[in-house]
Amino acid sequence: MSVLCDIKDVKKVYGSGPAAVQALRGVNLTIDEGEFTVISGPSGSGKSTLLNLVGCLDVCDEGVMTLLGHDVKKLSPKGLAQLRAERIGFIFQSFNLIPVLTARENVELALQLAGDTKGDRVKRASEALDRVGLGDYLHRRPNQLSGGQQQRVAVARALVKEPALVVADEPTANLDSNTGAAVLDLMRDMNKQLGITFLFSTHDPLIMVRARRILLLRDGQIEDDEIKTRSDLTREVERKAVQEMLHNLADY
Amino acid sequence: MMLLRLAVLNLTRSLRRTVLSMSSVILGVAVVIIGQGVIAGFEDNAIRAAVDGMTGHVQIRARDYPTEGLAHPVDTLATVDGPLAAWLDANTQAWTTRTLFVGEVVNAGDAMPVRAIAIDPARDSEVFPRGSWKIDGTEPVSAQDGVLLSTGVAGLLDLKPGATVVVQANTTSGAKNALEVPVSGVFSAGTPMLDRFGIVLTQDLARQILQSDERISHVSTRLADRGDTEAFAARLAERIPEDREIVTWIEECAPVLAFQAVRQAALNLVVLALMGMSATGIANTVLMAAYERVREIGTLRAMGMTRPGVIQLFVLEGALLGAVGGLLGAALGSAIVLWYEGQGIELPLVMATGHLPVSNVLYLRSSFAVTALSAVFGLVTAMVASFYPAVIASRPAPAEAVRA
Repeated sequence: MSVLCDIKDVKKVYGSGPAAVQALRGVNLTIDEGEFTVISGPSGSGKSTLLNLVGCLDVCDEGVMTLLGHDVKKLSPKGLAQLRAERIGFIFQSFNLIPVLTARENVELALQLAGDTKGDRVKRASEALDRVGLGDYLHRRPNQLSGGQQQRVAVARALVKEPALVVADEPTANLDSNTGAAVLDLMRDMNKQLGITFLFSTHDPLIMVRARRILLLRDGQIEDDEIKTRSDLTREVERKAVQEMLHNLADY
Repeated sequence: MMLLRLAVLNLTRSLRRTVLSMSSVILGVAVVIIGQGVIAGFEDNAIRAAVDGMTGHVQIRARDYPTEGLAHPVDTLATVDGPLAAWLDANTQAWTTRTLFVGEVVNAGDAMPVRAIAIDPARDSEVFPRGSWKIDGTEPVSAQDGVLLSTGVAGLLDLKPGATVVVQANTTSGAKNALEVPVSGVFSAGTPMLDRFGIVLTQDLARQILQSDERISHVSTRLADRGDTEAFAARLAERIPEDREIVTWIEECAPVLAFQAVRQAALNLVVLALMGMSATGIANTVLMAAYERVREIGTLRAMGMTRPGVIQLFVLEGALLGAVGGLLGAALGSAIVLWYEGQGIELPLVMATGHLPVSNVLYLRSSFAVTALSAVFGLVTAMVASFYPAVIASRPAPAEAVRA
């Protein structure tokens, strides 16, 4: 498996002077193609910051980050936008669909922004929605869909351009457990079928159960990085979930 | 196409706000078109009043002839000699002679001063078309027919066609003379300077009143093409005696046309204020949209839209607003101008005693170029107005915007 993302001693600071917050304090991480990885950790641990950096929504202050062969710090805003458009899909906690567009148009928009000039955009968008079980909901607007259906549209939108990486920020946080599990299974299937790399930030044990790799982030540093075998995955994830819960309680 | 559709749909999110902003563009564009229609109408009005009412295209009159109020001396009358008449026949579409004098019309003890226009019945309407005239009765063609009174004179003296009046004036030798004549009709020419104080009579009758010979006070010409006026006037000037001068409709209209510049400047100020208001409305609409859609903008940027792309989207929304508003404003403004181009607007007779040639019916003038430019002006205003809010909309970093 080849390396998709290589992060070396990456630091990120928000603000300046006494009010400065060091969100990442020297993170080292390598993500291979095809991984299904979770970043976990308490609030303020730097999960979202790390996700933003890997998703090219932000750039690190120090260190080196290579993504898909690009030194991200050296890319211009236009270059970053192009990388996001063509190679990275996003799934957000609040779905972030464009409310005035139909499900199909939301998915089609991703293709258009990726510079897809093929005439079959409508067909591909429809197929992507069909793949996530929304073939009958192409012309519905987001407010005519349930939360689970909206997140499926978001999944279709992230996957339609066949990206190398999908970055998902707490994708099940706004879904009930059954719907969340269904959406996750869908993403897991896509990971297996298409070999697309998934990187999640979450507190949700449902995701951790399905992840092959769990990164525990605390105070801007990776505290634990374990790739689990299938046999002990469930047990370990449950232990981590309990640990996580205890940490959160302590934070609380 | 998807961006265009997105822009259109975004405008429908808050329809009331969009309609309100668009209204200001519609109003602004309509006012520009109507204002320009009025100004062009006034210009046309002045030219029409001068050319069709008093001057023709080019006029010959006594040198230093008075130009203010009711002053029409008859001590410098002249004749048109054979060579000049032949030259005018050959170089004009039509020409005629007139004698203007100041007199009084008396009816049963009531008298009022009048501007008397003695015409050559065979030629006058060739130079001064009667298209806008309304005549109750008939226009005199001989001395026995008497006088045609303007509505102003007939109204003040309570006269109707068929009545008898006394017309009195100073003769060319300075003595008072008066004749009792019938009223052949009452006319309205649509020109205040004629309609309030004018009477029309034949030159035969004028000679009896003025005790003059074949001499006349004015020669008026009509050209096939108004654009030839100055060249024709220059050639004519070489053929007239020293004591005569040439007056063109351009000189006659000069005071009114100069006033046009003031009107145009005033309109420009109004347009500027209206477009400023439109721009503010549009900027406000786009800015509010930008603040309401921060997360969406973040999502679009996460999906690969660049900052210029976001600016393009918001400017496109402003452009659509301006384009639709501009088209509707152009339609509204044009409809109003076209209506009054046909119907005309009755103006108060404010300048009747002055020298300014004006018609009391203002016909607005439509212009495709003005309409098209106004609509484009609305579009450009909207695009410029939406640019700053678009820049504001594109400013948040994608990472912050997606979580807004």
